[in-house]
Amino acid sequence: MAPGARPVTALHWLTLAEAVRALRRRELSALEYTEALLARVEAVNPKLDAVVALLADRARERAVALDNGPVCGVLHGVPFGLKDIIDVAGVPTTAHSAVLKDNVAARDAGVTRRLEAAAGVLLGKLSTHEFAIGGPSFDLPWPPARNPWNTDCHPGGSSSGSGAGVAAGLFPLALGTDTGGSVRNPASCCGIVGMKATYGRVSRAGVVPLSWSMDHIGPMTRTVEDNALALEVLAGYDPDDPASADEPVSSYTAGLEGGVKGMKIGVVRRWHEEDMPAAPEMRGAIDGAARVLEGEGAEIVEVDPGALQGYSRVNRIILWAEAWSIHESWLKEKPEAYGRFGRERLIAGAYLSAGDYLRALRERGRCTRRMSEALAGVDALICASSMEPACAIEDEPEVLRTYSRQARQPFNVTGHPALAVPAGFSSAGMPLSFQIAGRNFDEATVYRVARAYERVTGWPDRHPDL
Amino acid sequence: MTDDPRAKAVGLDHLTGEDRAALDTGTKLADELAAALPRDHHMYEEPALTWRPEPGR
Repeated sequence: MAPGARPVTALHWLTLAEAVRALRRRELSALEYTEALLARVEAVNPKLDAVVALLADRARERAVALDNGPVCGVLHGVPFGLKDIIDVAGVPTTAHSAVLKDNVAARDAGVTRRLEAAAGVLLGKLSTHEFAIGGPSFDLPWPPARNPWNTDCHPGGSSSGSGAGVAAGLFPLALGTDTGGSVRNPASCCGIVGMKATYGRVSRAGVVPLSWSMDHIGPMTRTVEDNALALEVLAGYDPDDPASADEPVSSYTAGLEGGVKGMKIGVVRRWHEEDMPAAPEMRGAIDGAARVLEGEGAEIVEVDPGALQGYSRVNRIILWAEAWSIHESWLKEKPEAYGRFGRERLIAGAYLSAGDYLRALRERGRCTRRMSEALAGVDALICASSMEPACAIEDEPEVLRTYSRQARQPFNVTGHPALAVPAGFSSAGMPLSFQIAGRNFDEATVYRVARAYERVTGWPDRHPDL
Repeated sequence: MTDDPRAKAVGLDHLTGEDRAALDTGTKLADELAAALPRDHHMYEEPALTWRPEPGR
């Protein structure tokens, strides 16, 4: 290598923030960066199946155009990936299902428009559980994504390709969607940062719906700063999403390094100690996070927003009822076009009554009030994300058992922002994690707490060996 | 075809084999969870036609 030449292999581990700085100073060209990540995809994706449609020519053309013009956006020249339920005009949106295998999007989703307007470079569409619910499955047109920390393990879901791809250095930013934890589960399983912002904060226009009252779109990155940068681009009102919130967007990066000294942070212990006892290593990671934040000057207090199962039940009933209403005609006409998991989970709402759905909606109101009360006396709260690290992808009973052992659904029910944060590794080398949740539209505080923890622990410095 | 009245009521009585098994498996858990929902909502509560978080909270 010539003296001073950039080692190409290092480019795929640039954080989004580092890349932005280098690209804006023209120390790195968009094409050089794009080519490095395309090479990374070519080398690594056969082991991971994270990318289902690589848009290499489109990405190169876009990068060249950006290099030949002025620096014109926050993400100038940064490659990103999109879960394949998010529309890109002229590109198939398959939802990883034979049902939509010929579905070509007519226009960009709201989030696609925002990322393109910020001068990002779309690299490809990413693996998902079928319709963001049915997986990990081996009976779909594309294989399931695998975990870069151990390719025998699942990467979580449903935004599985987004989690695996970011953790593996295929791109510094991917979008996932989250109805019962589907951004935060792969973030937790793959050791990255995943945000489910406040309901209505990020537009869902142009995204295949699963449950309209609980669907969220969120950024997945390797660091907290990267995630905050991405949400600044994604957040904002969109009249094309009826649930979009017309609320001002604060800066998520301005106070990022402010620390937690003087903050009061709640810990929800009952969820991972009593309601759904976590594996000892995961419990240790959550307790360790509380100690780190206390060491940084936060006051740690215990909070109790009610039983985890109460939230989970409401999440499932509402999700199944709304998903059934979306998929009813397809499930009646062509059930064989779905994979086994997708068929089972999407048909689950068929017998739910109007009374069941309405009882769940009313119970949701109670859940939301309980959570708001728990958050009223603290700046943020921390709690479990998954109760176990990722298990073997082909061990179906264990996958089914552990997927439902999680504490992410409460925040889909209540709409509060929640961030999955890496918290080290198990003795088997698999990522551990916890969540930080905040008051509605207070993502800035959630990120600030997360950054305080990350600054001490430095987990993003570790990468999988692929 | 099945003569299960619930399947017939929602237009799924034509399902057979794996599709029928998916219906049985999927709805069993939904039935269990729905049965466990509290049934004490006898008073006026949230006046929501569609749920939205309270702005600014």
